[in-house]
Amino acid sequence: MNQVPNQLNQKILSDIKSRLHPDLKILFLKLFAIHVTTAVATLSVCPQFGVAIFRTNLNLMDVFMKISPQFCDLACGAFFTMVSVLSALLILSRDELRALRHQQLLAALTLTLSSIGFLIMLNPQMFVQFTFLWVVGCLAGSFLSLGLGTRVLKFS
Amino acid sequence: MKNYSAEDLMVIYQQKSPELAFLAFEELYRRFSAKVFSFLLKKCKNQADAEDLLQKVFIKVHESKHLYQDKYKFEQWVFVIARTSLLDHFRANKRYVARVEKLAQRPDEAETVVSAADYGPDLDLKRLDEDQREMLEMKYIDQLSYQEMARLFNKSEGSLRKMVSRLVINFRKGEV
Repeated sequence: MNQVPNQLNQKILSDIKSRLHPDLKILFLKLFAIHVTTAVATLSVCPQFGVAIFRTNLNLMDVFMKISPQFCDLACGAFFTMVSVLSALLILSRDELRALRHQQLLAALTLTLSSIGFLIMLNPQMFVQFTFLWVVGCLAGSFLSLGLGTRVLKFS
Repeated sequence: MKNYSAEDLMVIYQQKSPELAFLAFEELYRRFSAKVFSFLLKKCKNQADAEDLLQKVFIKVHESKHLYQDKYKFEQWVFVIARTSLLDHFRANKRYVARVEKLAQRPDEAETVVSAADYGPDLDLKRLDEDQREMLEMKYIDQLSYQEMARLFNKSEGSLRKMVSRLVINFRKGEV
């Protein structure tokens, strides 16, 4: 049997290794960029935030409020980050998603802290009104949706 | 990893952490690369092409790993990919050879096409060395993409792009 040149072996293996281990800085920057985009989209339809560029009859906040104000806080936070995670699942490559799954907590923290950051920058008074439950919702929403989404993609 | 079957390794490669996935790939590569390489070398009878194809085959294995189902034998699956890559290679080469042969029969036309396309009436392709001439012919007569040219020249797309644009600039300045 013909032997594969050693140099070629190294080249192929290092290529695959670098694909399996994407640069985390770039990966988190991509996640952040996705979150910025989806956050702008979400806030532009959110009636509570006060921007509400698009006025629609679909008011998710009312639905959440019917259950309870606490549930609304939690669900709004979760929704805010879940939209970003779902977009990331569609945009990022499988190798990137696998790497993200193994940094699940860090990814959830990134999304939560950047969400808090957006709100403070755009409307500090609004942020004060948000409760601890909203932050918990953000964290839980991103953590669970990333876990579930990558499990659907068969990463364990 | 040595105790696992190829099919089990493939499942680890598909699903587990990046570290384990790499170990699984490494083992799969260690077991099958020589077999695939022998097959490719036997079929294309050219060491450089076989090396190039081996690289493509394993990149394709990586990119299509989520499509693999463990009901198939990994060896069969990887050879299907090798055969497909080989056929693509032959098709690309056949097209290229046919074009070059066609041009070789009408050398005057080749020069006319190039000069008409870009370089002005004073172009003399004979002043170029073999590689440079071939490069320009591929780009402007055969209209191959840089990606296809990179494969044939065994160079990166970026460096080919630079070489061609430098040649064109030199031509325009009349330095070639």
